[in-house]
Amino acid sequence: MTLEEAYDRYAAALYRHALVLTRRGADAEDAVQSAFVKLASRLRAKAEIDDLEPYLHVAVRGEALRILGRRRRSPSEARIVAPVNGASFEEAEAVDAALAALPEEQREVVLLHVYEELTFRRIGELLGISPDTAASRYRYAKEKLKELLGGD
Amino acid sequence: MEIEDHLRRFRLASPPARLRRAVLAEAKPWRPWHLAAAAAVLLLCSAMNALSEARLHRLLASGGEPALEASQASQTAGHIVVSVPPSIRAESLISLRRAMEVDGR
Repeated sequence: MTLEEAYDRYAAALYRHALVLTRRGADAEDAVQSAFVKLASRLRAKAEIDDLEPYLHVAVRGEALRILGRRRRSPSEARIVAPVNGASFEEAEAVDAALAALPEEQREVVLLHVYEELTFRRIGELLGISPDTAASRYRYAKEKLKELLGGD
Repeated sequence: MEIEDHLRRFRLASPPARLRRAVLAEAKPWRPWHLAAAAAVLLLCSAMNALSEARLHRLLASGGEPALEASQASQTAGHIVVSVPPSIRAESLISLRRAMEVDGR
């Protein structure tokens, strides 16, 4: 697979992953760019990568957390969700605030499960955790979101 | 409403188009031959410059007749040559030499 093909296939999900972690568009772009630069050098060196998707998610996640650690004290101001399906901007703000209230590791599992529609097994592979850990993080996140947003 | 259904009423942002361009541009392999080609062109230019300067210096030092050489070349090529009196050629050469001395400083 060429770099262009890899970008076209995975970049959108990687960007969302980085955005959910950093909650800032520019930082998400930096994280994605850094991951693809790493991939490009691996491809040039003809290094074997068994499964590209987890490789890229791990790279993006690492870079996003590094960026996050660097600016831990400065507040995030980006909106990460936008309304569709008849939802209002006020509701989007509430969802945004609720997602922001979750720890990063729960937030990313919510993204990967709800928005990217991945199974807990696959989430485990992408994040280097067991499927049970992924499911448990999701369960905690769901409880917290229910608390904050209401719902069943 | 289930929390998942509620969350799906919102979408997450997509990467901007400029990110693709930036990623593909930055990830381009570094090609040393680009630099080598540019260096070769620069080297050629400076060699040609040095050669023409040396030729001019030789002509000035010998008090030579560049106009004569030029007129001979032009006649060979079938051009019409307007002859310039030697005194004017000498004056031009002297002013050129002065100009080059000023530049050399």
